[in-house]
Amino acid sequence: MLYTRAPHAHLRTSSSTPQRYGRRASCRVPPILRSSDDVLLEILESLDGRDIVMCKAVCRRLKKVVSETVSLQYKVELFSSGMLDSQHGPHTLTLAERLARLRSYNAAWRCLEWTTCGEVLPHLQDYSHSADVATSASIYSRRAEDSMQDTIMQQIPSQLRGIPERHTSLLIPAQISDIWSNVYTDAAQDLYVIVVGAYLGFRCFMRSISSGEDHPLGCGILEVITSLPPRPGFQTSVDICNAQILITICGRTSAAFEIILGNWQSGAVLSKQTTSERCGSYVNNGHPKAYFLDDDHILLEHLEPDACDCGHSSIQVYTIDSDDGLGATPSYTFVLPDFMQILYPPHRLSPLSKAWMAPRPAVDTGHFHPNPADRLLTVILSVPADRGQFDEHYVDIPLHTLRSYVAAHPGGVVPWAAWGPRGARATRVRVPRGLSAVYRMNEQGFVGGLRRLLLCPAADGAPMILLLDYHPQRIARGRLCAEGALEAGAEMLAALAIGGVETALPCLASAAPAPQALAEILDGFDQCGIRLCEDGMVFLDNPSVWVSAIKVAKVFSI
Amino acid sequence: MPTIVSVDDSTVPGEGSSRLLLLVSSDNKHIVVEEDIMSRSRFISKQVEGFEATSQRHAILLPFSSFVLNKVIEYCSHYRGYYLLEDDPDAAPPGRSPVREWDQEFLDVDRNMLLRIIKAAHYLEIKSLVGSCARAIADMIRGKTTEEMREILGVENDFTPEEEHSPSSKCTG
Repeated sequence: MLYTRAPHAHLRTSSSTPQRYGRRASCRVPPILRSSDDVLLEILESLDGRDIVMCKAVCRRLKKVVSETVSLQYKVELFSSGMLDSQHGPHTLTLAERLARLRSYNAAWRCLEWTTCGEVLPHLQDYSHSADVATSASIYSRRAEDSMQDTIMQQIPSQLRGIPERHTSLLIPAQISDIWSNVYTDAAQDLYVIVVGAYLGFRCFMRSISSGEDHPLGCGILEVITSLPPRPGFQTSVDICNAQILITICGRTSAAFEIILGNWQSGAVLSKQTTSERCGSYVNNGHPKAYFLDDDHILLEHLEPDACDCGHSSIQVYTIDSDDGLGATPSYTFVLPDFMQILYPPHRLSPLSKAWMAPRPAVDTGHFHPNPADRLLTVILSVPADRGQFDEHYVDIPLHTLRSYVAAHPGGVVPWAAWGPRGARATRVRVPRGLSAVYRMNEQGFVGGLRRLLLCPAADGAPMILLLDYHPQRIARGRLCAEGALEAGAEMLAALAIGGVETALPCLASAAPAPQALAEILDGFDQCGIRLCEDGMVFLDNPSVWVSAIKVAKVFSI
Repeated sequence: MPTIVSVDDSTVPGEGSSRLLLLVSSDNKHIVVEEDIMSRSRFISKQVEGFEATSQRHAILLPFSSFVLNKVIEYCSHYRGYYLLEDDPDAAPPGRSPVREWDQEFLDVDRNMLLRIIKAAHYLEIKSLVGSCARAIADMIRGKTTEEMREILGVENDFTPEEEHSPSSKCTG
């Protein structure tokens, strides 16, 4: 049969037809389920972990496809453990092997046992300088005992994440070796910062972790003249976001603090600003609290209700202007509820997790690493309970909520209801009754990854370490629950807009006895701090008696 | 059931060297299209290879409607002569790339249509179109709750209540 070419118009589709067509077919088997697995797989492959998890709950068919595909399983596992696949990591493993390792890694956290493989950090029983210890990104640093000018860096090994053990040492210049205020490591940028107090000012020394020499991108020294009146006991904190460095300085006797924004690579100070005497966080031992929200924003806590115009305590976000540095007034004021007692800073997930934004891959980040988007802002709420006691609730708000708010809104005062637990899909952890009085936070560590460590007494009074393993993403999937599911303080929590959304976590708790050394030293735990390194190192210290006990949990299995 | 048409002379004078194919859709519409337009489809290419081997050309029956088929032909006509990495069977699978702008506009159709196009593209083995459709569908369900996803995909919840509340299907991680 000879046929002619169809009229050209026939090849064109008319745009009005699809609607009619779709309606006619809607009563039959859903078209998506008539597709082959390959098609479903192709769709699922385009989604990220969160959406794959949601898809899994849609119907059996999708669940089957997800559970039969290694790449999707890996994404789900990464998502639910708050990890990312390392771009720069050693990629000698297949996807299936990495999935198996990640599963073992997550499973290993569910039991907290002291390792029997020996101390990773030996000779520390008589170690007496707890202030100059830093743990960050699985890198532990301390001064060498025989030389006050050396700092030893030790990378905690992780078999499952593929991170080898490594030692380096760093020579501190003689003139600054007597005291130093603070140390900070950013392993992703191979950067080690020592902040040293000096008369009327500070010096920040930038070093490379791996070589111990000056950082190749750094200026060596960043000098800061502080305008705060000179007083003893300055406290500093440092946060780094790419080339920017944010230093906050605060004296022990004052709530005012100074925020200095600089560039650690050029040594330039971009902006210097002193807050009012009334807006510091004196309730939190004077620790200044300013952090990068992202490249362009700084987050600052204002705990005094009348320190800002809104009449409540708040978190203020300042925009970084490329010309003038920090603006004089906050762009956003995130209002906190009245009965919030203490606000802690966004828990610093390991800087290692900034690897994706680092200008160059400086460290071996292992097969997978924590997701920087999962950084949390923790608000601690003290809710009155019986006999004058307080129940403590931690509301962990994912910082990406604030980031997306800032990206979408022009600025202004944001009421708690708009960004609090419901809006943010926050996680609430109710701290067991009686526990709140017996532990104290340690500003440096306390939380590693998405895990929270508490030191608490067991029934017989012996110190126990409690590990709460949780994840903010789980709360994104939190089910709507009937009102009244909340116990004491329900009224308060309803006012916080938590009521109605059951945000209690499927949190896994493990307990292990504290090391013997610590149990002997302490007659109580109220002076005790715990730090948790993401690769399983648990660090306990007691600043009041200047004795530190260091123990390693699960180092080799994790 | 459409009549099987045997094509014994597929060249049409005045149409250049490209030969014509007769495609028959499930609603029995006959559509004639130039062979090199459809060469993006692995399925059609294999059919054509079969024709060459047997020196017999016949209509190609396709299990989807002319409406969907026309849409696919529109896609193939647009990319006629273009090299798309996804469609190269010898190339390494490309990483995630953004959806091409034209594809985005082309796939701005209702979801049933989208699902039909992806199915047709899969049948015809046009990888680039499958990929673009998949990303368009993924964009529709991204960030949605399970219930909203069911709505969008037109899927019933077929879990038993026990399964639904079990930790494994909730996937608490």
